[in-house]
Amino acid sequence: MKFSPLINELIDSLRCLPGVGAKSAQRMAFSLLQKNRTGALKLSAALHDAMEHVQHCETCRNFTEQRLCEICSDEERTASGLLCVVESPQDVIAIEQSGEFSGLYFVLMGKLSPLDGIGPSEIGMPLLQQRLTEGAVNEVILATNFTMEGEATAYYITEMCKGLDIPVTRLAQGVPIGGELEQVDSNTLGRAFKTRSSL
Amino acid sequence: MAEFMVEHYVLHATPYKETSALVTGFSLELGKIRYVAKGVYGKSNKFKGLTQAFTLFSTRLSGNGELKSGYASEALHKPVALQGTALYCALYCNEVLVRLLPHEEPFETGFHFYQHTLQRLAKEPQAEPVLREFELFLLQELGSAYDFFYDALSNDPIAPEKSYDFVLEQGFCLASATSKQAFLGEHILAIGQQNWSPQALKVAKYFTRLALSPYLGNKPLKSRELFQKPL
Repeated sequence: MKFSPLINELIDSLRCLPGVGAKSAQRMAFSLLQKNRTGALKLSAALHDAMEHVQHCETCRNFTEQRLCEICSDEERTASGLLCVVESPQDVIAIEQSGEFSGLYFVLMGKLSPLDGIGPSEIGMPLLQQRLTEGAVNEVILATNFTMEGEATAYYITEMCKGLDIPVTRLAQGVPIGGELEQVDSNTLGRAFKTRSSL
Repeated sequence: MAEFMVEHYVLHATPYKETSALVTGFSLELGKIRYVAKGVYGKSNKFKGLTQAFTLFSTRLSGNGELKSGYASEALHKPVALQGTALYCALYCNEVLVRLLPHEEPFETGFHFYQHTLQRLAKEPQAEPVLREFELFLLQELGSAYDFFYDALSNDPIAPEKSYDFVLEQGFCLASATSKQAFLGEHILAIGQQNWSPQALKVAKYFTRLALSPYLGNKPLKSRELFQKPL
């Protein structure tokens, strides 16, 4: 069935959302038109404003509409000399929710993945190198994911830090709190045994 | 719909829709395969994480087309313990295989050689000889079995002290007086014998780049950037 040009354009545009195919886009378009035009107008304005004004923080690459994000502007955090390297903005949120870290971040916006066309320059390595060379970092904490690509990224940054004589640490791995041993996969359990600590 | 089990290594996995992954694998039975690993990134999926590279998986596939559907997957051993430069090398091998392997053409010797290469990379302190031997094996299996012991034109034995030009699809021929990038016979023989001195490795790297270039195409391999020192 043919829809009017504006409805067609709306359906096509909604398909740029992750996980939204033709059917879902059609359902969303009609739901907004029939039931929630106010919400749709608000969504449209929010999308426009965010796409126009949100950019990357000049020092950590996280999303912000300022030149520097809120975390990078915090003088106490800057004074800590700690820099935690993560793959995505969602990782920053997860670490912030833990309440354990009060240093600064560097957000790679990806990981080294040659087959996806992502090399060192695509994940901001020149900017990280510049930041480390400036001398305000006393320790780099690697919080990339424990996947092969995450490990390759961690190794690349470790080599960079070695050249600058900056200590590097990696997040520990082990059994989750509240987890039962029989539910933990054998690789994680094996790693937990290898890195067990004295009490 | 056809349903069967395959043993394979994941060469590349990329997220697909909300919780699935689009996987390119190297299987014992079919060579290079592509399938959708359904729900593999779902929170409650017991197959979560089963798209990691360098682990041998047994996976149930279904479908007759080029893109299969993957269901139950089981790791047949722990991931090969690759770290540092060895991990970069293994990622390079994966990128080369994704480019070179034809779709669904069984390549059992290639599968075993890849498996052996990963194990060597994990154990051996020098990764470079392992990579060069992997590339030389691929060249031979792709139908470019260059002769390192005889001149491709005259059929005379390669002389260690003489210089030779490399001609794609032909091999090594005695260099002309104007030749600028000739190979020394001594190094060509060392490549043929896989007798790796630092100089032979350097020359072999240059040779395999030239010889593999028609198969790899014009787009540079991204994994090569990993080997460039950050500082």
